[in-house]
Amino acid sequence: MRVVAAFVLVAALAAPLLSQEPPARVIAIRAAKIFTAAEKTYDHGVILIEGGKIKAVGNLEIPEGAEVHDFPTAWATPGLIDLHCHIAGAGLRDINDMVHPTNPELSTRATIDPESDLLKDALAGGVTTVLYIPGSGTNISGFGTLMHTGGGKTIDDLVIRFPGAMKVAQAWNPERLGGDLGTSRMGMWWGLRKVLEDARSYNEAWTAHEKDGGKTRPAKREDLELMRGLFQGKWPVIIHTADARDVMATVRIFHDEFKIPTIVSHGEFGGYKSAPEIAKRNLPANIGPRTYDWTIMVQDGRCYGIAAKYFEAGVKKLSINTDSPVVPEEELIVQASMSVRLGLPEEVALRAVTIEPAKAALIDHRLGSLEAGKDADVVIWTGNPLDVRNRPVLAMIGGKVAYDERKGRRVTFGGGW
Amino acid sequence: MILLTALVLAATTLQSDEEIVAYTNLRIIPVTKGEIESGTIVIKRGKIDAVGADVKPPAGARVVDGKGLVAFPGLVNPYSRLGLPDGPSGAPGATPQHLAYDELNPSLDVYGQAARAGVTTIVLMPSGAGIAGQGAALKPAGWTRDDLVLEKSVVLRIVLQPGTASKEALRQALDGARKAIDAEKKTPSAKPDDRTATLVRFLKGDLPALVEVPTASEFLHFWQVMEPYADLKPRIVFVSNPDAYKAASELGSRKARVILRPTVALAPFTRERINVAAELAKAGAEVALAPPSDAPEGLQAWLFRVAELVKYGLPRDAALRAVTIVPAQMAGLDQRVGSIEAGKDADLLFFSGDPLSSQARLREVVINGKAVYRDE
Amino acid sequence: MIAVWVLSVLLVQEPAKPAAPAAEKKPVYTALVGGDVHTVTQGVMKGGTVLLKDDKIFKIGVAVELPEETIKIDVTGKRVLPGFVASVAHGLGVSTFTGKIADALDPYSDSIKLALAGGITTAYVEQGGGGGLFGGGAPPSAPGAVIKMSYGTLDKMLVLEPACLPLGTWMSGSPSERYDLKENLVKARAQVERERDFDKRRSENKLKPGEVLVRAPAPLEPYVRLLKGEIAARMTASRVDDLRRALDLINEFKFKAVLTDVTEGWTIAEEISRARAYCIVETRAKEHAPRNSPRPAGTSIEQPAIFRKTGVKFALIPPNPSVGTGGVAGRDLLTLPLEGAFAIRGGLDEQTALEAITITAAEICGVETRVGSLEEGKDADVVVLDGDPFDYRTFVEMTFVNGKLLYEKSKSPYFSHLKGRK
Repeated sequence: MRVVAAFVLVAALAAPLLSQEPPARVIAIRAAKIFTAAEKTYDHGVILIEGGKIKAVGNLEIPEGAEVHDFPTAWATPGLIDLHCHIAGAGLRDINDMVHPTNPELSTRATIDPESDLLKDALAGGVTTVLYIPGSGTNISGFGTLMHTGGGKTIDDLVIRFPGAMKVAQAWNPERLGGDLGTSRMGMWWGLRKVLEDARSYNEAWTAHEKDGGKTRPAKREDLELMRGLFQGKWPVIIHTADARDVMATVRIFHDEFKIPTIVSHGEFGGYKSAPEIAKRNLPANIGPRTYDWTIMVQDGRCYGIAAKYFEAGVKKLSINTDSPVVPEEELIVQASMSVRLGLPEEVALRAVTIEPAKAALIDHRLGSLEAGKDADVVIWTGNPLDVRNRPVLAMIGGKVAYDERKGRRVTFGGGW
Repeated sequence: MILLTALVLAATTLQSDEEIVAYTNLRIIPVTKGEIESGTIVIKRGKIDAVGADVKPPAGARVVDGKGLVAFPGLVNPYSRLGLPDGPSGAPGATPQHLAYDELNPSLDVYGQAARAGVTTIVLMPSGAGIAGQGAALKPAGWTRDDLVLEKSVVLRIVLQPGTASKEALRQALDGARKAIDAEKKTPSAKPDDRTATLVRFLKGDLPALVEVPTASEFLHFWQVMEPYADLKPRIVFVSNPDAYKAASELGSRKARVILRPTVALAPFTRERINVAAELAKAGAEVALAPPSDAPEGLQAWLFRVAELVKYGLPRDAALRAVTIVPAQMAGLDQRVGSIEAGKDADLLFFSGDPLSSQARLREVVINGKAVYRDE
Repeated sequence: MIAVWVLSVLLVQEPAKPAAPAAEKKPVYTALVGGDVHTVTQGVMKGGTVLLKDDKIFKIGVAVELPEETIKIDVTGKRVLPGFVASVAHGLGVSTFTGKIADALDPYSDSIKLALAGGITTAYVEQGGGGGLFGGGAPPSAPGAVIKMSYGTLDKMLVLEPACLPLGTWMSGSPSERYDLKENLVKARAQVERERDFDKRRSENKLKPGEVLVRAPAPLEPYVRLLKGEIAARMTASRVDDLRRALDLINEFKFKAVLTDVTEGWTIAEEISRARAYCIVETRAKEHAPRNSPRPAGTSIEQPAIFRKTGVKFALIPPNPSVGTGGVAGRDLLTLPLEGAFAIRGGLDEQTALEAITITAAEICGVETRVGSLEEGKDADVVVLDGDPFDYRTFVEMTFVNGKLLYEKSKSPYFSHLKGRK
């Protein structure tokens, strides 16, 4: 009896050990240049990864027993992050349910297609994280999902955080054309404010209830539940907005009035004229897909780089997007290249597709830069990523290789609307 | 002062054909000569008999004291469809034998409206596309066709369109005319048909053509088509859109004659204004300014818009000529109208101030020596 | 007295001169001095001089003697290249009316100014608007024309019209239409044979008395020209079966063909190479292979590199082959060299990438004797760049068309506020 019991005990103890992953080895990546998106850029530096996290970055000694990946001529960067992505589902059918003018009860999580070819293209283009959001067909189209583009088979594998952000469209698309509520800015913004006010009250009521519990339990509202996180500063609202007037409305309503973490997205068609106000409030601006302003709002015959204009106006929290599929997701870095071409400094552009989107999405404690303690989302490029002649050769998500061109180069690249 | 002037003018309501009228103490803008601070215009049998600072009213003349008034030639509108129905346009063809004269319906009051706006000579265009037909010159004074019409065939209207159809139609028509001219040299008695005869008149320079150019590039195409006929020296006047400024240097170097509406263009992708008339004039082209439109508002606003162009850089001189002598020359009518000179028709405007001033009122309009309008 | 008078008359009177010839215009010389001259066909000349005489390239060399009154332009530190050739260009310099493109040319179009800012000097254009239920991606249904971006002048703007024989019917016509087309080619081939035979016998004086060559009837003429090599055919062929259909015809009748919209060409590159067909490649076209496809399918960014390896000649075009002003930079003709950069990303070498937007594109358009490289005697279509054409930061600083300087970055509002790289 005792032998059997002992055996069972040993087996019970051994089981977890046997079923466990082999003990985490240290992985070392050596590259010609390491762009950390943090304080320093390292020449011939090393990234040490352990347990899926970055252990250290710098001109370091590689510890014994480490699994070394040597890329003597390559650049290493954090995995790129795009806050304005619509391609993780089944396409245009999946991004707009235009029932009501505001639909905070909807979310993109369930529409993610982990097998999507477009996600694979994105990963091979160096984009490891996207904020997959609904479209701009309504003023609040729903909640988006912060997710990885690969390194997993199921939706749960890919999701980093849900909700990623609430998606709002201020104007320039959500206008209802049938004459009903939401045809003009009057109706649209009345609707928006109403929902925001309701959500604010809802959050206050529930926060109070959660504190002392004794009072009457407020009614549960599925459509406002996730909006609580906005008022708790857990996730931001990302707003599709354009032209100076509407950008200002975005700033006034979401930041000034309702005080929730706000990301001004697109900001095209002369929106940069409101950039000083964005800078004053130190709000994040997420620029794209258009990279230049010319014929529509700007009237002096010049081709202006939009990101450069925002930057020159003092907007420090600058990120760049593709609004995929308008620009293919894998061309996120090309958007950065074009912004540089049109006047944005190189380093600002690289940060605009790494740390700045992470900060804006309130995920920078985990992603966006190669720093100790953060997730090991790393991309190895054949050279400076901004030079479009270069390409990713390896993409790592959470310390695991998710794309390796040596095992099969992804050759589908480009396309677009 | 105004009251006195009004009374004096009222006294001249009844005029007989033989009456000689002398307007004195006028400020006179003859256009073809320097402005006269204070002078006299003598009208006899519908013509200007004399004009000048030292002119004395002849014996027996009815004297009108024009103190406070500015005399200006009647405005010449070189490109109009006033009073004509909207005609068919469509495929470019060649109907040079059509006459605007035949479309004219004199019973409409539109001509009176034009006169009241100071327009004393109008060149009416025939409807149609391609080589549309012959325009007529008229004066808006009278109720019958004969009263109105100055000349039945004064210009040839050609409407260009981009594309082969328009150019082919033009090439073929001109080719036919050239052949007729050659045939005529061999056999002087050979008379071409009406169609061809009109084109021959054009090619030989006897009938000026008013060529409507839809975009600046069409100037270039037109010159290409006309090149083989340069030896015949046809007279060309262009009617153009504001984008003509793009071809300013070409138009200037050829000393082209261009009729424009008094608008400003915007440089592409910008809000930068381009004073098209000024640009063309600066480059060396000859510019006439037609009214903004044929509608009464357009005619009323004509001088106001011209004044705007002066404000934005068109020399005053060029502006005043652009609505008087230059359009008259373009239509070949300058022997009779377009300036205040002895021997020309007495088509006169009397303003209460400078014609380009927004505060000046048009007090009286005289056509062929008779007052057709008084501001009462 | 009379003697004096006669003498004076004789002295005064000059011998009658022959009628003076019409005053000859003096040639205008322009020299671009000190730049790196990328001839495309004959290598790179560092610190060279390109001397233009009126509308032609007169001399290229390191120490070129410059005639008096040469307009000298210092381009030290810059690169001098032939103007770029857009082998497909929508809505560029042509008004949308039907008929001959020659009659619809729009030299004052703003699209031309923009194209010049992108370094484009020659473009293959089709008639806009009319014909076709499809939109911008329509198969070539019109014969097209090759034009210069000669802003402001019609003179020498048209280079070639018709610029191709469209054989869309072969690709998408009904069976009877395709049959008729083949019949025409058979008849045309017979005609070419007849003409060859006639010429041969004529040169050997073996003609029958009174024998005359029977020319082809007018509808057959284009096919005769095709088989004589005087014009190229254009066909849209995307997938493998389309491509093979096109190649069958080409192989049977052996004519110069240009294939457009070639998405799966890379999977049968050798076959295309054997047929000596040219391809117009949209570098960044993207289509995924169907799941579980039995053969390679879909697009590949490596297509240009694969073509190079197998000897297929090609030109490159952007996703939007027009001058875009919509706001997304890098996807239209304003940045044509970027397509070469993406081809390089896919493994193509720089020289071939450059050829794909210059000389090979010119060959595809049928105008390679005039443009596409910097060679003495060719048209003076030249661009000056502030860096490597395939660097995403490089801008065009100057563009010459037919010897005239039509675009200067520093003087145009488009990009003059963007600082140069050096």
